[in-house]
Amino acid sequence: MKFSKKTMETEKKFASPGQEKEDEKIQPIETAENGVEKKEAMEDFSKKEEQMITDFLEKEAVNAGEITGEAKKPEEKKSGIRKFLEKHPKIIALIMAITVSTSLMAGSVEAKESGWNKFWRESGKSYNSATWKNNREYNKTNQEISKITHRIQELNFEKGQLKQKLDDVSYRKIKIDMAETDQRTKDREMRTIEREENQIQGKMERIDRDIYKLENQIEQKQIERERRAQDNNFKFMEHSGKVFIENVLFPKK
Amino acid sequence: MIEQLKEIIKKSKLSEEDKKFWEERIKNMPEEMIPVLEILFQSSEKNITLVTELTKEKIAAAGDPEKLEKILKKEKELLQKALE
Repeated sequence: MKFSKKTMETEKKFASPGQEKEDEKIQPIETAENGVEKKEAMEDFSKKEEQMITDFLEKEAVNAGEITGEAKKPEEKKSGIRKFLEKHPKIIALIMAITVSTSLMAGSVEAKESGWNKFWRESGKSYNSATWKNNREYNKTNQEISKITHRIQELNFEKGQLKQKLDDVSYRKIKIDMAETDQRTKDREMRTIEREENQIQGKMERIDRDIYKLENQIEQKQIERERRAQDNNFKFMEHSGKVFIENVLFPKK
Repeated sequence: MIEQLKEIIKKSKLSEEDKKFWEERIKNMPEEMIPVLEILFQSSEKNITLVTELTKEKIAAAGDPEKLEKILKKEKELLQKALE
């Protein structure tokens, strides 16, 4: 079995970081003693894995009563497996995990054309087209959350400055109290400074109320964002199931 | 999307070594794979651990039919367990 230079370059690109270094140090994979064997073992594994999942799905779809004994046509099996997968999103997620890890292990041009790679590539496309509106809103919500967070930071900064003024007022009050002036002057100065103190406290309370409102807004937007993420998650599973059936289990010849 | 995926990995409970592993991989990953990984990783912490574990195991076993056979057996069991 001979591999093109491009294939080998791609394979190297997908190799683990540690492995990359090793390959660079020792020799290119195409000339490595076990290079071809390794490649064949990975391809063989990928095929076996694909078969194992196909067998599993067919068997379980039969067990679940989604495929009856009479179903012989691929279309009937396809429909049964689809129904089975729709009821088991955990299985779809697991198949995705398995295929992604296999694609990362192989990473060759040949592997890119295999059912697995076609599966996740098509899943990605299908998912993107089904979720673009949600994603747009998700990103919009993210930007809004950032803006509100920024506003809260500004308000907290303002509050910090007011707090400093309040500390300054307290210090001035002590000074007035300790000053060697007559009581009338002291009372007059104290009334002036207390008015200032009340104004500062009023501003601080208003800021606290604004921050509270903004924090509530963030909470609502986070819920909204989470809902959109969940919705995307559901859409992904829904689309992946279909794509898996179309591209891996029953690919168009 | 790639930034979101990086963020999910950064916030995950993976070890620093595993985070580094993904950091390196994401750099060279085909773009179609990004949304797949993102949604898988976003949906549960268990998926992050599972994909990391499986990928590392497969890379370590590549070229060793016996080890690959064991992985296949493990995957079959995982699928069976997911139905329980």
